[in-house]
Amino acid sequence: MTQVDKSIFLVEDDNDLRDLLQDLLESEGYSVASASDGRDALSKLGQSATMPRLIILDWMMPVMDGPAFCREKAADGKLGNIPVLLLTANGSIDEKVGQTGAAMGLAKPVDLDVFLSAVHSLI
Amino acid sequence: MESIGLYHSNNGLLVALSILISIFASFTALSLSGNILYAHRKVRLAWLVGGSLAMGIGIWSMNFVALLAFKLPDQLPEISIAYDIPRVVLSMLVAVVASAIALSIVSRESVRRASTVLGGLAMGAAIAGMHYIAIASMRMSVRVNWDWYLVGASVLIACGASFVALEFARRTRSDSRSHAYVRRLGGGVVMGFAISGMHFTAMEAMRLSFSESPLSYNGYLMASDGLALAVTVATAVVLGLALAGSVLDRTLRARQQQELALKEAIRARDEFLSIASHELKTPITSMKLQTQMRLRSLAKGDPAPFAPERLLKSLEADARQIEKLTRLIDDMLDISRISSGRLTIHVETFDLCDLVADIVERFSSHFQAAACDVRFVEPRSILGQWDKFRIEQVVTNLLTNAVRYGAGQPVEIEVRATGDSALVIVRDRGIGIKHEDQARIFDRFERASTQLAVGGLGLGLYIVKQIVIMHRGDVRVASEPGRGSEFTVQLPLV
Repeated sequence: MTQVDKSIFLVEDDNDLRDLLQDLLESEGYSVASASDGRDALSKLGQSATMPRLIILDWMMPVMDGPAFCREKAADGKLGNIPVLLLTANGSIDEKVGQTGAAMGLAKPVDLDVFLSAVHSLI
Repeated sequence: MESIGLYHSNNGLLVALSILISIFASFTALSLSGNILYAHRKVRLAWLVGGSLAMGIGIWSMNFVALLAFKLPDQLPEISIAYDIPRVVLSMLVAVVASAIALSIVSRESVRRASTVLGGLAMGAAIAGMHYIAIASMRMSVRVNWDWYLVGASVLIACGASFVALEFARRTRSDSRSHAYVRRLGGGVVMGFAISGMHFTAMEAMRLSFSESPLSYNGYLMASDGLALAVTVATAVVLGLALAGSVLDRTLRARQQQELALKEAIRARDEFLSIASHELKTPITSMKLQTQMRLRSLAKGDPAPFAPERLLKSLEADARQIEKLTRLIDDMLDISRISSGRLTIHVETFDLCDLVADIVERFSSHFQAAACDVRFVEPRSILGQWDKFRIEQVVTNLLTNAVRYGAGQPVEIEVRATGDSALVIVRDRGIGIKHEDQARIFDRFERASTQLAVGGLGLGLYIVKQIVIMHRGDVRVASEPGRGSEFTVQLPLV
């Protein structure tokens, strides 16, 4: 597997959590790019030459939140097929997964092993 | 033909009755105009038709009962008065049309003065028309000559009264305060007397003289006190039904509004819970993952995460999460203390400049992280008696907002004394606050940001305001969208 095949794009507004997840995923051998909200993510992904294999997405964010990002993503031919792993602090995960077309959803605070096996299963 | 002046008289009881009907009809009409305003489409049309009927019958009835009060001179006991039924009905229709004009004008969303002037003219003309058609329906064995000045005066009074009525309706229609009924009753009394004034002026315009030609009253409605009473009772029933409908409608609408307010409160609570859960769980997620990563490294015997530099970085991150969580929980507890009236102020003498300098110093890492340059302006010392812990909270909340909404731009903090107050001013050059949002940002659970998650529970400024109020001080905001915000806290010095 090449480096590009294991690339992940991380969208999370909390600086500490974003840094931590990035460190964790990189220590697992993934290459990680990140953004602090949906709008930021769309602009960075739009400029990028290669597409990630997975997008990890926070639900509640400033400027553009998770569901709004998913709507824009679905309408974008380049991004449309990339699976999304939702991270959300509020219940009704199935509903949110259904609503956004995400591949999977996990509840905060997420468990380390559950999180990593979810990422493995989606790439 | 003999022509001598005849003087008519009025039955006082019937005159009083006609004025009462007039007041009742006016009050009902004022009440109905509010119902029409808030109803939609079909219901609105139903209110308009029903209201016009009730009000028109009310006005007509006042006029007709007043006509029945009209007595020919006692020296002519054999002379009776009778009414031509088709014309009586026509005069009633004209009154209903006048009412429809009036109600459709005052029940529009926005009513301008020009509409009430035009409406007053139209309605006044229609009311005068109703009166004179009713006069024309009278059959009596006297001749009538007109005093045209008084006729003109009666038309003017009808138009004036109609204008006053429309203006009253315009101003009281959406009034749902508890004394609104008193206001409508006041309006009804004024209008009732005005309409009666028109009627009796018009009656004075009649100059009666003998007519020798005998009349046949076959097929006519004979005037009698019993007829007046029957008309009065029937009208009272119609108006009473209309009024009862109006009151019922208002009650139902008030209940509907209560339900809406309740739903809005539930929505605000759900949104608060959703944000609170996000704000609480995000730092916990970081700490949980961090802890599990350390445990895993220990189990694997991997020393890398425990190298001093990396350990320091991760412990600092933990400290930040703990600080964040503590602040959130404190805010929530304060909200509960404020709403149950248990938040108390413990004053001590301290230097406001020292306190603010300490907080700014403590915030330096936050400012750095948000790339904000800080300019701090302070005099040497401002001594005063306040609650040190609470004032610290006020300044901390304002600085938190400045960092959150003004990231990447300079932040200015100024402390100064003016007259008998101390001022703490926090200026950012961030996203700013729209004018229409500036009042509500101090309310509970409110944030100016339309984005659900610009962070924060929407409690910070509410707590600031409550603490400042408890110090008998004030907090205000000046802001331009896109250019930044300036918050000024004013605390009394004595």
